[in-house]
Amino acid sequence: MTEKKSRYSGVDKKAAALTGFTIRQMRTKLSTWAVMGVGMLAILMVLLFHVDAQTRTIEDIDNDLDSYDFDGDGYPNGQEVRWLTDIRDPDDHPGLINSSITPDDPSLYINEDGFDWDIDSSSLQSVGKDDDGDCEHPEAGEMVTDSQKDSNGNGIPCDIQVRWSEIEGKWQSKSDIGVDEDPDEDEYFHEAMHRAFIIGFGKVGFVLLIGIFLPLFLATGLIRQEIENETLHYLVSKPIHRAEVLIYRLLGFLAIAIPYIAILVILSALVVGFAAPGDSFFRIQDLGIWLGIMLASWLMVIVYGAIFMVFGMVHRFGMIAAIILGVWEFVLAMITLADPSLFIARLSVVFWGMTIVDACASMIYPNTPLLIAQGRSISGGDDFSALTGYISSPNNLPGTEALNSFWNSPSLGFSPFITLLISVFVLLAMMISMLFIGQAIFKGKEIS
Amino acid sequence: MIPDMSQQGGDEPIAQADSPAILLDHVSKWYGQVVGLNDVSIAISGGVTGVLGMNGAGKSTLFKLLCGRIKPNQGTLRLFGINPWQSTSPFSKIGYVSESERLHDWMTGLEFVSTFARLHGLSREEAVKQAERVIEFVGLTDVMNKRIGKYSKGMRQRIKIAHALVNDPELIILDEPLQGCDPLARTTIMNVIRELGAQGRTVLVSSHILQEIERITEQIVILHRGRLLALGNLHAIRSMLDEHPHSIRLTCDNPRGIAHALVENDLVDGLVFESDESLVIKTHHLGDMHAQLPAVIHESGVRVTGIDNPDDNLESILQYLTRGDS
Amino acid sequence: MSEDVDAEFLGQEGLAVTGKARMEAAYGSGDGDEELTAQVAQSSVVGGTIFEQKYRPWRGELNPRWMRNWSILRHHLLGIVKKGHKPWGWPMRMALLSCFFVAMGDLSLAFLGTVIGDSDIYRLFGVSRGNLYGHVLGFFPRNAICFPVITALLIGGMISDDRRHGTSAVYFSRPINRRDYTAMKFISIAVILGLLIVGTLVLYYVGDILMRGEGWAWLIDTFPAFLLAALAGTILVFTYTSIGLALSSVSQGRFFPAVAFMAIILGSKLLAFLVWQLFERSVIYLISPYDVVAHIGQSLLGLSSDYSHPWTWSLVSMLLMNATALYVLTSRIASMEVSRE
Repeated sequence: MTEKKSRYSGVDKKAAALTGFTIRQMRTKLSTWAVMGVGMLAILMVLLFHVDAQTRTIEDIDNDLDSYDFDGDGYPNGQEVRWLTDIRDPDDHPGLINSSITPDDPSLYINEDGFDWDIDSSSLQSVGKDDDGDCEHPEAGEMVTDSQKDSNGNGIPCDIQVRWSEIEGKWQSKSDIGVDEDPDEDEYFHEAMHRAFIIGFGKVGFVLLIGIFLPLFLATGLIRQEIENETLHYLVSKPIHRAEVLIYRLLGFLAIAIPYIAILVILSALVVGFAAPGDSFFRIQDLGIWLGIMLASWLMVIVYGAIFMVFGMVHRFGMIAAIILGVWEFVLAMITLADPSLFIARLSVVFWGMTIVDACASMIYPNTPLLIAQGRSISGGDDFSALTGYISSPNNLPGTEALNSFWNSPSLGFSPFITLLISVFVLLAMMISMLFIGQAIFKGKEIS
Repeated sequence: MIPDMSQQGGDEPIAQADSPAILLDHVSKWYGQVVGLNDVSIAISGGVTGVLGMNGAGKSTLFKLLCGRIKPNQGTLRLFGINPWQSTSPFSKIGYVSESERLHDWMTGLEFVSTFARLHGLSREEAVKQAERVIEFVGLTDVMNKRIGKYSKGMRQRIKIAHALVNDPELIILDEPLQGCDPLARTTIMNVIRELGAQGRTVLVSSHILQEIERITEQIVILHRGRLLALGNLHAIRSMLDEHPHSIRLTCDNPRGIAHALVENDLVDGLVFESDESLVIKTHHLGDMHAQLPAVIHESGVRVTGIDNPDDNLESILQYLTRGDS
Repeated sequence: MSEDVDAEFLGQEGLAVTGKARMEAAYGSGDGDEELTAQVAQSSVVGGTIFEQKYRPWRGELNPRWMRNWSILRHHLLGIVKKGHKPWGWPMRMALLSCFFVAMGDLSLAFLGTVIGDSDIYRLFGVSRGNLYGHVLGFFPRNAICFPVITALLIGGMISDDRRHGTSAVYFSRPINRRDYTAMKFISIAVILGLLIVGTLVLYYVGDILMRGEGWAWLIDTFPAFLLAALAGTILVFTYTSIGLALSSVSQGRFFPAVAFMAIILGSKLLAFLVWQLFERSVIYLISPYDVVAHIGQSLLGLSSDYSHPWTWSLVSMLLMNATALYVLTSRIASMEVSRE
């Protein structure tokens, strides 16, 4: 019984041979190492900035100015407010009401009223607690009515009304005067920066920069370089289908790109995880987002690899087209970062990669919009000027804007997990259709 | 597994019995306004065939058609009975040596041959074994672990031939294998080609130098401006040429002085004064004439600075062959 | 004699480059054997001819050096508009044309504003300190998608093609030294880019004057700003050209330098943007060639700066970038082998 010789015989051997050939060819090129080295350096540099930010201590800010003593009577403003004495009148202080009251240490009135929000998924709710007594006025008793304590007018004294705005896609808060108005900046900053960094770094550093430039440098020449070197016929004048040549060349590129990305992501995950704020030694929770970033970057190099390889194969001006496509993706990436709900953003590859990261971030840290709302609720604006006559801190809490600029809720209108699946599917479909078009062109291409 | 997207059927016979290795039926190929091949029909099976033609005669076009690099505009082309643009299966029985000098310089000779052997479906071990065999056959065993970038031109040609032989092909196509080689490398490559022919394979060799082909084979195809000009045994074509007088050109200071001595010679059929410094002798007996010339020149006392045979190249054969057409 | 040779082949300072030594090297010898006229093989060969070989020293007169350099320059420049010179290819010309239209966008919108009498449109796009800056250094769309792409396409094969195909021999076997060759390549890129960036700035400024019929007072007000914007544009052109040509000189392909240039301009900008958004450290912008030039331009024109570090840092960074790029460029060309690599 002789072995039946079919066209499929030895397909795996051919795949191994051509893939291995491509890997070795790339390894011998200096430019491969230069590109990957520069990518590694850039990643390390940004990580350095992050570690620096995480080890920095943010100076405590007295957001409501209640550790000051405006009238110089020895009692800090916060203490006077609790007793309803005039903070600007040195002859009116709690010691006059009850001589046993001695002035408090002013440092007690810094970071004394942090966030204690406990939010469920319902859209309108009341949260928050007045930790320092500048709303509840426990010492003043009946002198302050409930309606005076209810400046946001939701009928509940000393609370914060939080509601989910479907239109704007974010939480909005309206607080009673003196509730959760002086949180710990350092704690907030490190948490917000931690999340902002993973998301921003994942989307801009990995999905956009590595995702576009690695294939642009390494995959565009997969076929084009063989054509220009007049060595393509060594590959195609063989008992092998041309679609196979395309796929195995791409596989060879991926065999270098995928471990490279994995190493970079793992390295970043380790550095960021150990530098993460919180009590635990290493933040395991992040790994979900890092996996999403890895998946997204992998899919990006697969899709762009297929696109750029086919561009290079079709025509010698395909390289110019590849550069122009790269610029197009760059512009749409900027749009995606700014507002992913714009439809035009979906006409890019990078949108779908960034959406994967967004979806994973939404699944791991679903309360991030709330964190942004919290950072924004300390605007120091109207709430305190009514109380103190001063605007204490005109800005949001440090880190809020960084988090806000990179955080995007998945914009497709589905749950994060479904969004993730759709994005992966779209990217895979792009890759497959590109390869299909590519092999159809390649099959009829003359190599002279 | 990768599905084969071009083919409807999966397992078809690799070759059909009793179909010739090469079959061209009224094949034409043109590049824009330029004609590469014009209505060529040939069938070749077995033995070494030399393909002769000037630059641009269509040799490379023919070979590129045969190895599936380009498509014919008209006519049908079959390799072992199969259209290479329909199925790549005939390539498992073909070895192709391109005219291009470019190779993967970063690989060693052994890597180069064995890697592409694996594209024929050989396992890694089998590929290395076969590669070592063919490298020995072309005589490069001692340098097979050096990078191709460091090879000389002759070595590069031979490693290309080794690459073409590694799948034990039945049809071997060599496009200008002797180009740019020194005489030693030429001899080695010619021996390799003769040996292949003796093994019963179909070998196609192209060249624009008649003498080279003469030393390899007697079966020739002559292409001229894309047309098939002659096909058959070299001797037959040669004897056709022998009916036509050969020329010998003498370069000397006094052509008329030497002509005087030659006029009485029986071997001379005619004399032409090309210029003040050269004389062309027409003769049917080239060998005898060459034997007698030194004595004649010596006697005449004319100072001769050069003797050559303007006929003894492809150009004059072509001129002769095409004279009938026009 | 030998000093001249050194001047020509090695580009030594202070000595005249006449090209004569090189012509003699090509056509004969200048080493004292001028009188040798023939080396003839004796006719002991049967059936062949060995031709008489005559070597004569070259006795011609060379055109001046600038004329030789000019011919290199015009070879590259005229290729943009007509055949018979360096072939730039139609995608290159298309890209140049469309970038020209983008660059003229502000003038045409200002014109629109003037024609329909909408002073708001004119205020947005007409000549002002900010718009003069924006014409050469605005990020979007000019420096995001126009100028870097054009630079990338221009420098792509500029030197690397010569390396790859060995066509540098066409230059180096003639009386042209390598420094001149480099300089002419540099100038030809810079002139094309300069026409696109600074040239359209001039068109914009002059067009605005003609369109509005501005008087002397306006001219005196705006002319210094225009000159400074032109200076900033020249710095941009110089920086892009030197970085681009340095990349072209280290590579053999067309594609690698082009992509590497895009990666340097857009990649460093994006990285700096990421770090700025996250950590508010504007020092990171010192790695981005575009941003250092933009910073210099902002301080030249006295605009409020987007960056919080002193502009002199950007100046130093720009000088360092150019010095590095020019060093790479000259050393690569000095050591370039005249062969098909």
